[in-house]
Amino acid sequence: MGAYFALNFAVFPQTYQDVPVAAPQPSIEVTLSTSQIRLGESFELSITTTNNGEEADLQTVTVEFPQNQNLDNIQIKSYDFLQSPKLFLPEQQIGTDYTGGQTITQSKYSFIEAYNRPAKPGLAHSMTLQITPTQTGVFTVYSKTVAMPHINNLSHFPLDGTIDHQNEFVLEHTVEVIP
Amino acid sequence: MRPEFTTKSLDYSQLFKIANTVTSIGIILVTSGGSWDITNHILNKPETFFAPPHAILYSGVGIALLGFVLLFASWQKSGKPSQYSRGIKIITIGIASLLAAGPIDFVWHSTFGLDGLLSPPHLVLIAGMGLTSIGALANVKAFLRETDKPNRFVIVVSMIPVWFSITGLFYSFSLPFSKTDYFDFNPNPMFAAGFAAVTYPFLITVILTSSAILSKNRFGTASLVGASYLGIMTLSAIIPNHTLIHTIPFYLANIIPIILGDYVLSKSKTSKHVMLAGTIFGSVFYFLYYPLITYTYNEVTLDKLMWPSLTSQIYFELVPLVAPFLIISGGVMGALGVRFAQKITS
Repeated sequence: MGAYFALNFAVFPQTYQDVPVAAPQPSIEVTLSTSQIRLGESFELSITTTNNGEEADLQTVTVEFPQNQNLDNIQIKSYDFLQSPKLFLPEQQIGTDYTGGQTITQSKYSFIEAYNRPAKPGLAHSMTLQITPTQTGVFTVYSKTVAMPHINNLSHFPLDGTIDHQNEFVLEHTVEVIP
Repeated sequence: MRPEFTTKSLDYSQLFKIANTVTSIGIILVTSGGSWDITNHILNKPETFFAPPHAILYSGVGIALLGFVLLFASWQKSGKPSQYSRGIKIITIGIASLLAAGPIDFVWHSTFGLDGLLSPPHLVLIAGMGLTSIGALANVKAFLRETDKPNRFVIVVSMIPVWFSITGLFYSFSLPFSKTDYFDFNPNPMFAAGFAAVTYPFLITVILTSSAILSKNRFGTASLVGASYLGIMTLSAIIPNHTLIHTIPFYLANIIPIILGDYVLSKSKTSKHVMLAGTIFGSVFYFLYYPLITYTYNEVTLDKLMWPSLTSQIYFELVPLVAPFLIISGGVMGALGVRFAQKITS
């Protein structure tokens, strides 16, 4: 029993804790079908993600609508992520600061979260949204991806830029809506 | 000339024994599929009923049902021997619960969506697994009274489903996997930690000591039961999570205290020796219940966010924090477990 406990207290913990944790490196590419539309028309936003690092337990891809209080004017046209998307409305409990839900806040606007669980490296997954703005002016869309566990700064994309309601970096995309 | 047929009457008592073993094998498949299903849920979020763990689980239900039908028929044909009445009754309730669990689960899913580990339909399922396997074990105990040389295979096959079924019940009250959109059935973390510290070592000791006693303390039976447990857990809880595969040597090293305890039992002349074996079995429960036990003790100590790929890191970080205490408490519970095992096998 002495040898057994020696293995379990000294040898195995030392051996296994030295094994580096897999570090995922997600990224996204976003394309807009147009940069200007007339009120009442729609545009498409296509988002493709890949994980260029090691396998992640979870990877989310988020498309946010900071001017929207609902998702009535958004349609998912295509979707090939492993799990079904989650739809969020304002005043829902959401995670912040890349903590995977350990710190939470209330959402301020609507967003769609696509996710893969697990997120294997090298594979591409896409989602296309059809968006119909309801007001003239500049229509803004945010996008980002986060991999979990969040090992380091490369576990999210973008690495810097605008901060969203989850206190996380996002890419900003705009379409001008004319009367 | 008309052909002559010779009829050989079926040996119903032999068929009864085979059917009883088939029933236990069915529950082994149900529990192994269940264990794999838990791992599958940790690794990803299956959105379809048609997953490989479910295929194994429901094949097991089918095999257990087939075993039960043969068992019941052979029991009736052989004149309803009274020594098996209790086992038959327990298995009947168990199979009825197993069959009822499916529709209850369907209604629950239809009403509340995804369910957690602890839920009414899962409790019905676990009760079904537990009662069926305990009934089959009661029958094995009755067989063994009629023989001087117990069949090890039969003991191992009847013990494993009991171990896994009761483990499933204990998991429900000690793992934080039961929070859904509708209900939060997660156990209080302190309760879960205390519950695991009391029940897991007790169960390990009862199973391994009973296996040894039923085989008339022949060395090897408890080791075979332990090895089977480790093998099934390796296949269903470690290998599916590729980030745990490198920890298999650590997990399989748990055969050392099992063999040692088995050896002590085989040589035991006094109750002190038996208690010593129980203490050995109980003291290693934190290591035997890897990897899922990480979730239980992380909650009351480090409280880190658990991801499948971080399980082994957090588990080994917990070793110096919790294992010394759990070895002592497990040893005490193991000593108590021995008494219980002696009682139920006498």
